[in-house]
Amino acid sequence: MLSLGTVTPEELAKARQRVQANTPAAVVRMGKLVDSYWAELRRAPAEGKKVAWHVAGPGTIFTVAAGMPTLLHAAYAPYCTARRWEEAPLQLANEDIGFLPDTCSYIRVQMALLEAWETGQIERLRSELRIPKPELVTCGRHCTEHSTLAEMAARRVGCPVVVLDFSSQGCVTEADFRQRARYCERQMREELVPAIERVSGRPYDYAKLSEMVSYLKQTALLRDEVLELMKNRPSPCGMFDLGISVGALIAEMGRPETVEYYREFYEECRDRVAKGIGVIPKEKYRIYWDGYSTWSVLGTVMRALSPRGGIPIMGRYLWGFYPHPEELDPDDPFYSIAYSMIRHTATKIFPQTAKDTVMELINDYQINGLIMLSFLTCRMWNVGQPEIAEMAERRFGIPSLIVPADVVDRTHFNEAQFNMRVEAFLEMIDARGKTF
Amino acid sequence: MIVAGVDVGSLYTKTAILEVNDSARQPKIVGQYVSRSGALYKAAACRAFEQALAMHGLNRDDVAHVVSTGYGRYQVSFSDSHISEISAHARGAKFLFPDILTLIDIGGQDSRAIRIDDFGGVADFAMNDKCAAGTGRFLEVMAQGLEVELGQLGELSLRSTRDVQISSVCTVFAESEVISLLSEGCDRVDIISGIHRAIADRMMGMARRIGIKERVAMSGGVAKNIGMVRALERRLGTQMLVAHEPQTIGALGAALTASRRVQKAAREEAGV
Repeated sequence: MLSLGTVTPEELAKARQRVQANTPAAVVRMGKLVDSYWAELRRAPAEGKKVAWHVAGPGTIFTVAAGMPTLLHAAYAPYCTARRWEEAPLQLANEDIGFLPDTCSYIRVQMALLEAWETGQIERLRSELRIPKPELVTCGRHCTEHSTLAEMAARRVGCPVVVLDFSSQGCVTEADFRQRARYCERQMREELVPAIERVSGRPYDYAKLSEMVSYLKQTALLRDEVLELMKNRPSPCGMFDLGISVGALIAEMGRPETVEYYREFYEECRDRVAKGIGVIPKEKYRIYWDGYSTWSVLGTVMRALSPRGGIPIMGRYLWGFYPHPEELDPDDPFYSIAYSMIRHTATKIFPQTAKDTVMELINDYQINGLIMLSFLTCRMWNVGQPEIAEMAERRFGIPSLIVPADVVDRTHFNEAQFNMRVEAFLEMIDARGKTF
Repeated sequence: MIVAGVDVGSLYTKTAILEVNDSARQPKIVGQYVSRSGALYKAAACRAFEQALAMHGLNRDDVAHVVSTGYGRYQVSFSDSHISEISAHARGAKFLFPDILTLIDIGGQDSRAIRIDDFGGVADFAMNDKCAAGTGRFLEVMAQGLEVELGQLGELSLRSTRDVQISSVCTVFAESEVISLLSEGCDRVDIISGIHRAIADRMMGMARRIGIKERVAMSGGVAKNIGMVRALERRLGTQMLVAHEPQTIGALGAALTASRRVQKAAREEAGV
């Protein structure tokens, strides 16, 4: 059972001050939900529960349904970073393991946790970060780093690993996607479920999975309502508010608390739209943000943009998590999740196929500039960015700015240079007469 | 009416003072001034501004509006508004050379390629990453490694008779490479020329990204280096326009912005 908790007026004021924006109160509650997710994982051994780790892909739902609290690697690194606790794990990864600083920072942070456990150095990490080692690792490979991390982690602790091949490469027609989804479904039924049963020591709980998919669907449908509201000017919330809320769709997924969270978030946004209240006081630049939420410099980015009237509104990152919830079927969870991943997630966020999605988003959300983060440690995102920039310029006459940064490692970011680039970029939008 | 621009860069602080006369079509440059920034940007800006005013018999009350730019723009306590140095350089260069469409700006800490629209606005830009490669600081370090005065680098590079390849543009590794080439007996002038070519290659990457449109001008302190100008011209395949005082173009652009802002405010006040 997760907990949403309550947010005090002081906590809300502090959060809003940090980003110099009128962050929805619901979003600030997300921190409480995240805390309870990690607490559940830390408690697991004492409660006699076995812990799984999940590296990208369809999410934690399959192992959580089997009663195994599950760490999502794409949530652990952001958790460390958003709380400014990433320095110790990065130091362990770079100095003790010997990772190069341009290795995927999610991998570095995750392997640092294992290194700390395996070498008796767990005290170097804050108590909140001491998540138990896995007894099963699952992975829905989106890039080679994902499967490498899953296999490395499992080898390090000597536990089973299931790497699911969730690739949509080569799929062109609807029939191709459906056939590939059947292949993914078979992998889940024939490899994932038996592995979970072996580790958990009990038959798989299909009823629980169906119930969780039902909650996931409700959550994602509400999220879509929020996305729809963001088409309004001024927007009731920003892209980073949705980025912060992504955990409810992939880490804390399939729980009733996530439905409650998104319902509150949606109602607050709906209320704001009705009253004409925006997330920033004077919305002038509606920015398309290409890349992850920059957990390491989220506040810095917002402080550079919001006082000048800039707000990141939309980005393909948000479309990576069950973008078409109507297709999720609690009565057919394996196939519907596989189809959703193959048909939509991969094609909407990966550079080779995301261009059309991005152009639609620019049009639908009345975007007047693109800021694209170029990640030294995640090249998968960078591929295709110049092409997206060129298309946006050609089709809509709006400029793009490519900025080097990292989601975790602050040493890859220069605040003074970022501020200067952003200022010049906004002046460039002004010069083109593209402001609202 | 007097307006001013102050460009607080990583190495130098530049000041430009303009006289704006309603009857004259163009503002007139009253004076330009360059001094070292040092570690304390705030004090450097005050000092540079006061000295620039004193040289022309002016005081702060004579100045209607001051726009600050550069990395230290927010440290300028006496400025009325600010602007990014990318926009400032574009505006300053367009004022001096009305027919330019591309600007190559190499300063102490940054190198940039800027495409300029017909009105002096920024149409697009690309700049160096978080790295000193290809900047004025890079040339300073190389000059130290070669035991040459910074101001001599350009002239010396033109005497080169042999191509020497500098494969690294990382300031630290390039210095090691230079020392290694010296120990192999390479002529200093050939090494200096190779350094200039390496920077020109890097700048070309940025310029191509934004699309080079003629005519092309160059600004920033590095534009004083004739070897760098020639190396870039060879790579660009065109002759560049270089101002007599390229280092103060950002400050000039800031002063022009001050002039526009004062005039706009006056128009708004008059209800025009």
